[in-house]
Amino acid sequence: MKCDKLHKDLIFFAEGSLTFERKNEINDHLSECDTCRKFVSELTYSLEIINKEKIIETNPFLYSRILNKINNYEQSANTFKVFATKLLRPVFVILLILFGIFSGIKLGSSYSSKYTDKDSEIQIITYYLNDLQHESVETILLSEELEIENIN
Amino acid sequence: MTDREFVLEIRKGNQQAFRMFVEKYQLTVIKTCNGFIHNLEDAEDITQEVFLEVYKSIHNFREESKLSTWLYRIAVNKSLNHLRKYKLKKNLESIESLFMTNKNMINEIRDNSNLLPDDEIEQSEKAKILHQAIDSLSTNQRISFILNKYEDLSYKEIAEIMNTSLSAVESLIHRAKINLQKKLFNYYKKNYK
Repeated sequence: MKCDKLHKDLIFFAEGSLTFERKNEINDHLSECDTCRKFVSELTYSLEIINKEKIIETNPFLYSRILNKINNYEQSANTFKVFATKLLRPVFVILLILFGIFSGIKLGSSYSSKYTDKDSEIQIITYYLNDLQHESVETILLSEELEIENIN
Repeated sequence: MTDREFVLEIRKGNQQAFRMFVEKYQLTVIKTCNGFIHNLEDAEDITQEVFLEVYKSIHNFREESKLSTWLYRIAVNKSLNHLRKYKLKKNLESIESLFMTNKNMINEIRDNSNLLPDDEIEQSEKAKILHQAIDSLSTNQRISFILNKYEDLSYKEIAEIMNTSLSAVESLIHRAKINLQKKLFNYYKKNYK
């Protein structure tokens, strides 16, 4: 059996996750091939390193360290709150007032520039050409009444 | 205390419940972090950050997944962030390390471990090579491999943590093992033949 054919399965052989038949095939090859045998022992050793690294003892001081971190976090959060109320709030209010003034000026200037002299001329012309501006509904009704009186 | 009770009690600010929660899950978190970092002291520091994050974000935990799944996600993200920061720091500190070859690193270990017994030096060298091989895997392959090998989690649990399908996890772990074998074989060819 060629090394290349079974080489991809050596790590699965080392961790013991192959089928019985495949395992036997590789065992047969390993009895003949020195290179593959050495490599399998290296792979097995590497997997054992992982198993050794998994054995960790609990640190009795870990909880107190976490608690310390939490206290630091809460302190810094409180400091930020104080900072926010004492300094950031008035700054925000001032900025809001400035924004209001600025936007008011901007709106005012855009409104006046919207109607130019030409626009007002057109308005005057349309005013004169509009009959209803001169003759209100009341005058029409009055004139109609006078006409009726004359007829009578 | 069940996970649901842990969530409710920690939200209420029950310190005793938080202590029990830390005691229950600290080894799980340290082992996961150590799988990525390969340094116990740093893994413990990240574990502290993980539990701080739990304390800060427990009110935002929507309980759509298990508490342990959420905890694993935080541990994985914190570990990957630590590695990114460490990599950046290392690159800034020394340009020389960018050009450092595997052989140089092995020699460095040899120099640093003159006082250790021979078998410990050998184990340290081989552990370093294994760690390098694990670190060179793609992020998803690395996450799935570490959760499977260091935490003995099932493919289903890993799929939940990684928010992916079971078949995707099977494929990721299979490819991770093959890639790991290739990298270890390259090292073996160079040094032992």
